[in-house]
Amino acid sequence: MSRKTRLDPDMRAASGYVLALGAVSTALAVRLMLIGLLAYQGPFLPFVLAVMITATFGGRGPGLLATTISLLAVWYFFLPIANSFVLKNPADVMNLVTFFVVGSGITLLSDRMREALRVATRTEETNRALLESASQGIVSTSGDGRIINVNAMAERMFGYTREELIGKPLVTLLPETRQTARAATAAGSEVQHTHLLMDRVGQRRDGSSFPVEVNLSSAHTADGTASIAFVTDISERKQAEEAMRNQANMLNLAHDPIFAWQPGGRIYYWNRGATALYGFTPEEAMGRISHELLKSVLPFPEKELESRLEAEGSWIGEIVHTAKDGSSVIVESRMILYTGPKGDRTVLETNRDITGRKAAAEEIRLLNEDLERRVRVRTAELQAANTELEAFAYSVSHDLRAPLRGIDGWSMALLEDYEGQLDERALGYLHRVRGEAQRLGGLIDDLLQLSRVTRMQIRSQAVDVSALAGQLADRLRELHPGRRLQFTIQPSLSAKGDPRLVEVVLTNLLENAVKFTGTRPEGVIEVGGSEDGAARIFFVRDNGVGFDMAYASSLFGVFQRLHKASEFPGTGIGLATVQRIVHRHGGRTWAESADGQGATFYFALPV
Amino acid sequence: MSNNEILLVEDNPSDIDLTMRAFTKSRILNKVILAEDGQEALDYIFGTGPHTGRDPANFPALTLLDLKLPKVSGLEVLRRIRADERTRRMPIVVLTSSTEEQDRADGYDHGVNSYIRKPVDFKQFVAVLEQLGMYWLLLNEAPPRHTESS
Repeated sequence: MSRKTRLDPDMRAASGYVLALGAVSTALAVRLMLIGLLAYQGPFLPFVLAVMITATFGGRGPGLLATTISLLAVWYFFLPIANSFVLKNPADVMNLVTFFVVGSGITLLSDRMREALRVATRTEETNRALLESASQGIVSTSGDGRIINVNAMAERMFGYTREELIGKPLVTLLPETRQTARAATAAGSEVQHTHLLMDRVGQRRDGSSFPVEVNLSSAHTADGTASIAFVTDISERKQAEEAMRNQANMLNLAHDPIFAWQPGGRIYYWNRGATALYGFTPEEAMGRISHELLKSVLPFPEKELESRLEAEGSWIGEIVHTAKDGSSVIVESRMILYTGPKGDRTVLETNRDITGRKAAAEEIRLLNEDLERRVRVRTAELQAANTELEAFAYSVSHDLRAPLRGIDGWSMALLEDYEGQLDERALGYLHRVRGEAQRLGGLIDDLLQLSRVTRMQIRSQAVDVSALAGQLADRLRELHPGRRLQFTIQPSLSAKGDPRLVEVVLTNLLENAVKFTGTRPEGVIEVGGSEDGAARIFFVRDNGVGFDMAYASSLFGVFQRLHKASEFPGTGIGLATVQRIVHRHGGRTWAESADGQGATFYFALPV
Repeated sequence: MSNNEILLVEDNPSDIDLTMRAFTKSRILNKVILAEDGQEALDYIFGTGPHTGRDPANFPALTLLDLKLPKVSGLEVLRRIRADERTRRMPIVVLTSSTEEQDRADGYDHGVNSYIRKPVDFKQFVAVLEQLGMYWLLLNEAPPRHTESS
């Protein structure tokens, strides 16, 4: 169907009438030229031809026009009397009428035929276009099984051109259709069969094959079974199915239990993880109601679950399940409500076994509880012990000293009031009683101080050690007016500590230095210090009797004395107090000496 | 009208006698009133019980108060004296064996005028009492006494 002949309607109508005039003119000219040969015999024949041509190609209107003009032309030119509209023979009237009827008839018949042809052409065009545009490949065969037509999709699908395929048997494309066709033939009596052939193989021109689904319709004809095959390439669908199968396999491999159930709880998927955790095989689990099978204990009534899923689309929480062997399993569950393309609903439940984790957490909680309880008990015990110690120290402070004062006081009274009546020995004994009482008093004081520094709350601040040592040195010089004492104090020594306690430390060390230099003509005492990164180290050095380093480790113990009381009186508590204070500040103490060559006592306090 | 009495609040008989001896030794001849527990001290000071009728405003010139006492503790006695406006200005010296920091802090918090530790050495004890008497009874200007009208 070429576009060139398709003129617009006005042009086409006009050209029809031009054709009518042309055809009739031609017929007239030819007939006039033959006038010598034919005279006036059979004048109508060329005009009938002109009308036929005009009607065939020009249609109804031009055909009728040609008929009319032809009738007038014959009447005027060829019927006697010629060259006038006067008719000589009455029979010619009949001839003219007959011509008009025949011309009109030809015109009308021709028009009908044109119309029918046009409709047929258009129908076939439409059919062809539809077939060409179909998304399925369409292959039609004649009765002998040979291909008579294919559409564009079939060409593309199989890699052939239409011309190559026409005349080839259908099995070239669909090797498996042979049996089907035969079976269809055997089935016989029915005129038409339609077979849906699923999962078949299509064969391309290059020899490769691909999965197809074929809808094959066959009909018995005179020369065998003709058929038309609608072929769908299902490669993509197959791949999607394969992918889904792989995914299902992967789900099955997952360690976590995964299963799916329909609304109402009926299980229809159950992976290996679920079998491993709960002990039910897929056969035992499929078709059962999930919460009945696993005796689910949710944080809320079980029947609320589906409405929650409906509202939220998913749910995450802890569930207690019961496995096949009756043991309890705690899982962290994730459920997702999935609505399929057809509105079918599925809940996918993925669980994680947290029984062990919960048990461990519970154990930790219990251990912590126990620990806290024990700490509370210990703290209470410690507090009780501290309270007791305080009460003890208070009692010592008050009650032990009072009788001592009495012993001393009444010995004194005896000495004062009865001095004349007592001999020297009695007076000596009384002095000893007083001496012992005062020594015990000193001991009690030292013990109280040790106890106090142990209990005292430390309030750290910067302490000017040099200034403090200077004051203490002055006090010691006053206390020992008969001694020659030389103090050398390094300036700008400072420590971080409780000033009350640092004073106790320095007092003890300096008193010791004064005491143990008592046998020297001059006591030379040095106070110094240095910094060692995290700590400041202080020392008190003397030129006294020193001590044997073999006993250095017991130097700071309570009641540990390295010298005879007759030589150097003391309670053996002073250095213990020093060490206790330094330890409470997070520091340490040590000492160096060689017997007879003085001693150096060190203490280090954190910066 | 001035009151030259010394109130000694002390429960230990030995300490009582030693204190009296020390007063004698240091030639303090003021009248000494003895209270052997906290309640006796309060009765005397506030004119209650056996001392009904005594004017609390006419308080002793010096009170020596031990802290560890039967019935009512020394600190409680101190607190009640300071709580009453008639006895608020009364000179009180704590004389005790304790040097516990807490006791000292409590004593001063309750408004004690002085805190003295009894030394074990009797010679020192006599010296301490001598100085106390000298200071509180001779050197120190006594506080004005509270009167109803003032």
